[in-house]
Amino acid sequence: MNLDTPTLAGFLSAKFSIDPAEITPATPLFSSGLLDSFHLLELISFVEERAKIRISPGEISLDNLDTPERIVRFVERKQAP
Amino acid sequence: MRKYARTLDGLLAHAHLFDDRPFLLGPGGTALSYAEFLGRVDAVAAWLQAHNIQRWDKMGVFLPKSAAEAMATLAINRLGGVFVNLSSKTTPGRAAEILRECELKALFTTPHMARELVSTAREIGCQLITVPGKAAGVESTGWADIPDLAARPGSLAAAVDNDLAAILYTSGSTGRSKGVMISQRNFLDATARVADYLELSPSDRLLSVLPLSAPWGFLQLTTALHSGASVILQPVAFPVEIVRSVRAHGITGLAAMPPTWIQLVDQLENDGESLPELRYITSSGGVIPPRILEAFPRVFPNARVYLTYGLTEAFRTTVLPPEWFARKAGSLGRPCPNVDIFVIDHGRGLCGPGQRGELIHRGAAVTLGYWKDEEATRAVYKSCPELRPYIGDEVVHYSGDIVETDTDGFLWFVGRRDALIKVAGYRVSAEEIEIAAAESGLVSQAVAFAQPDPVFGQAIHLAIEPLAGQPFDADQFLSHCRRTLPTHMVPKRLHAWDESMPRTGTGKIDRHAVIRVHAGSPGASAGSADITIVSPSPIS
Repeated sequence: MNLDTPTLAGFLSAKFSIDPAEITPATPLFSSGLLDSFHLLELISFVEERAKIRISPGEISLDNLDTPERIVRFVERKQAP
Repeated sequence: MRKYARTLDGLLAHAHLFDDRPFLLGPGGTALSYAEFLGRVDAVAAWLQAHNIQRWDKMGVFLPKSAAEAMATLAINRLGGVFVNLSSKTTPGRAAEILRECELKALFTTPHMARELVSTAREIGCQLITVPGKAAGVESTGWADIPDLAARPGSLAAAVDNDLAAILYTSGSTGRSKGVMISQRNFLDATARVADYLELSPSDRLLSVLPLSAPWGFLQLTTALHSGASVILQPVAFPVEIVRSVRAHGITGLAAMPPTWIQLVDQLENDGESLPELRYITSSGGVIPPRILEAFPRVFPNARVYLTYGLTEAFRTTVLPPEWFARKAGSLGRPCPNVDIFVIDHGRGLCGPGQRGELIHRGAAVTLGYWKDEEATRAVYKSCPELRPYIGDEVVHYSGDIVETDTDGFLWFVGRRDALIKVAGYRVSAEEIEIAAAESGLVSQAVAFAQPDPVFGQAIHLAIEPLAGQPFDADQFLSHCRRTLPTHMVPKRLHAWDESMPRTGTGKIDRHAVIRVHAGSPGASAGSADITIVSPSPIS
């Protein structure tokens, strides 16, 4: 299944009570301190389940996960045949 | 002649010895020399002084890990003021309470948080300084608008070593988080003993993974200032990012808590890699699993390992020297120089080797008590009848940790005296979670307890009795928990009872019976924080 930035923003605001107005595709989630390591585990479970992928520990990086648009691009790369 | 530093202000003066050396590398590549960093600290202190801040005034710092956070914290001490550094996990509601409790005169925070706290700040006359710039629509001063100084100011305030330097909040075993009052002497004494045992020098580069709102994290700054070392701020503790930073910056020293060691070691082992850059590593805040300890020499081939222990109330008090690591891994080590530790069997006396008792701290490591909480202070900061023959009625600190000493004088952790839960090194009070649950208006009873967790040490489970006659909405309940509790305190698993929980003879919930029912039930596995509802089988 595909994952887009509005879906991610919806998940983040519903699950972590973050104001949806704060979350743009380019909002830094972890480097800004908005999310912490406890949120990370829930975010990974959500992305894995939604996109039907497995994220390995070595892929948990700011390059892949720091903003909604990076997460979407990372998922697309993983799903590419 | 070099002056002996008795206060943090004195430590800043001493640090000018290293003026031309690099001190701090912030996120986003902000690099500051000692002279640049100390100059900015002076500028902020001078600005605060011009805005009627004086010795003993309390000021808050509520910022993500950044150069500004470090500078604001130390600028407050430059004036003889008291800093209250709030963990980034603090909810806005709790932050507002702390603003009032500490009667903060100024708060350094983000524009976003300033908007959340503006009405409380106005009510108590607390000035807002927002980082990086002025917050639109809020009466505040932008960090960037604080002018630099042309010359170094002299002493801005007289502080003595018994002055309060900080109030740092931590969970106790009961009730709300408490503000631990830390003196100038507490910080200076700990700075010297940590810099000594780690043998820090100007060639060291420390990676700061720990929050500056915890004494241990703050000590990385002060031990660097003491010894001329550099600090690289690492706001995100993903193992991949830590590995990258260690390599990119030639990090020589890494301090972290067990969850970070577990994830980092697993990652390095999995990739067959190592970090030869590290000269030392140091851990505190819980027990590291044996398989991780055993991997340390492989993944950190050049690192001396320092396992340490301490509490916010008496921090960095024991260390296991690296030469003992192979023989005593898993021990808390021995008391650091100038720290006195006793193991007491209440009512009986001092414990000998192999006898279990409570760990008691004495000396310069003992902090001053809990801010405005006389009852909680008296419960753990008190004289010790078993020590009266030696030290009279001197006040010592009761740690609540049950330990035993082996025949070589090493301390081993056995357990807690109370129901304190520890998640990823953060102390969590079961009562605080239960209060939050009750405030949801969705449950009639709640019992919080801990279950083992492979990464975080313990995970929080919550058994609840829904309000009678109402369908229980778990999503609504959890969203209430997320709004009112810091993330590490949000229950990982709920156990909803469809009948009454067991009661004691007096009609109170029988906590132990409730917890016994769930003791064998599965904890959520690492990597999946999904919260599920389980219904225990009715008690026969």
